[in-house]
Amino acid sequence: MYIGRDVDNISNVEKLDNITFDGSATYALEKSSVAYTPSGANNILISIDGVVQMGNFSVSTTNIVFDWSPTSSNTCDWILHIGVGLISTPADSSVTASKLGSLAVTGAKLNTDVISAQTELAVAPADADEFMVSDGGVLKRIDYSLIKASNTPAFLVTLGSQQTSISRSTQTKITYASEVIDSDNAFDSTTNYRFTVPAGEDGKYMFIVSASAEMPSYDPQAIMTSLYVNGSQVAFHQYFANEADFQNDQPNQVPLVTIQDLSASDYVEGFINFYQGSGGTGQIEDDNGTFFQGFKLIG
Amino acid sequence: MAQLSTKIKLYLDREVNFNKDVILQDDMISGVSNPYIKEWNVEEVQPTEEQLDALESQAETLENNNQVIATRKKEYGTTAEQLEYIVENGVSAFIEKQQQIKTDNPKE
Repeated sequence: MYIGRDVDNISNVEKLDNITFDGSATYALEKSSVAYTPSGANNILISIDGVVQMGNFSVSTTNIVFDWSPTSSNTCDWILHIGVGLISTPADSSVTASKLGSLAVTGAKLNTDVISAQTELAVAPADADEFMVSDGGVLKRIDYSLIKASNTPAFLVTLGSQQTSISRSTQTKITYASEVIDSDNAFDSTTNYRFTVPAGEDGKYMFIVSASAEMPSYDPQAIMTSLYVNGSQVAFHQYFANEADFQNDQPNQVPLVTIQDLSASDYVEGFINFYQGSGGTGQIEDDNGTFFQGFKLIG
Repeated sequence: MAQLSTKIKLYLDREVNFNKDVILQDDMISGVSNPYIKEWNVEEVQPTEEQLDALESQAETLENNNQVIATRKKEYGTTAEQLEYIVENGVSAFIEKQQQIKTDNPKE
């Protein structure tokens, strides 16, 4: 036995006025004598002579159309119209997280004000500020420090003092011994005069090797600066000297610019070669033309 | 002390391509120069330290003379300067000047 309010009082289930049959096939649907438009034939439950009808009628606007013609001897017991279902509005703040299905909140359900309605951060984020990222389809949080644009590791070193007695025709390491910038403490300016790629800093690097070089004699054929990676020459810039260089006792700046794709623990050095020449040794001035710099490219 | 490249040229008794045939390197570890043969790409057998040391005196003489030549060239001036000297002072004065430079800078 059902104990509770009548079905016609349950929200979305409506009881329509009974029909008096007269031999016609089509009858108007009304609720409280007002024309009623059903959602469809499947939303209508109608009992005639104690038998619930099924599949033998259709609806058209506010009418029900039988496949047969009920007569005045037939009795309409009741007509119910079933709506889309019972609607129950949850109380404010009553829907808990566990009531939501996994992955139930899709992007389409989000309003753009999840961003636009928030307080603007009008300065660069702090390193520990976090972003959300899909890591292979798994949502994760990541610190800003790990994704912010940065050209580090970076270094700039100079000679510190004149490098003299450089042998001719010999690839001689330039002893950059004075650090101006060394963002990751990756430049050895005391023993091997080299930059070593720190762990986790694989990538493409730009380097500039420059030396303010003076000829060892009247006729060196060339001055060459080189970049070595792991002990091997990977790039060079060669300057062919002329007699005026020597006559004027002027150093020549021989800059080399190159990009290298490096991995952690790779080491990079600058070399110079006073090629040939007939006497004396070469030297590098400790001036603004002598420096070695490098930095990791973004991206 | 003579340079390694000079001794190698004397050892081979010919000009050497030090960018290809023989590669010399100086790693300057802790700022100390110590040139060495990194690559030896010629047919001749690579010299020993003793063989190179034996060429020290000869190499020093060659380098000193080369330095004398370099000093002379510097004092001769550029080609343009020499031509200008001739135009302004005549050929005889030019020859005398050049000869004096040679006298002042004798070879060993």
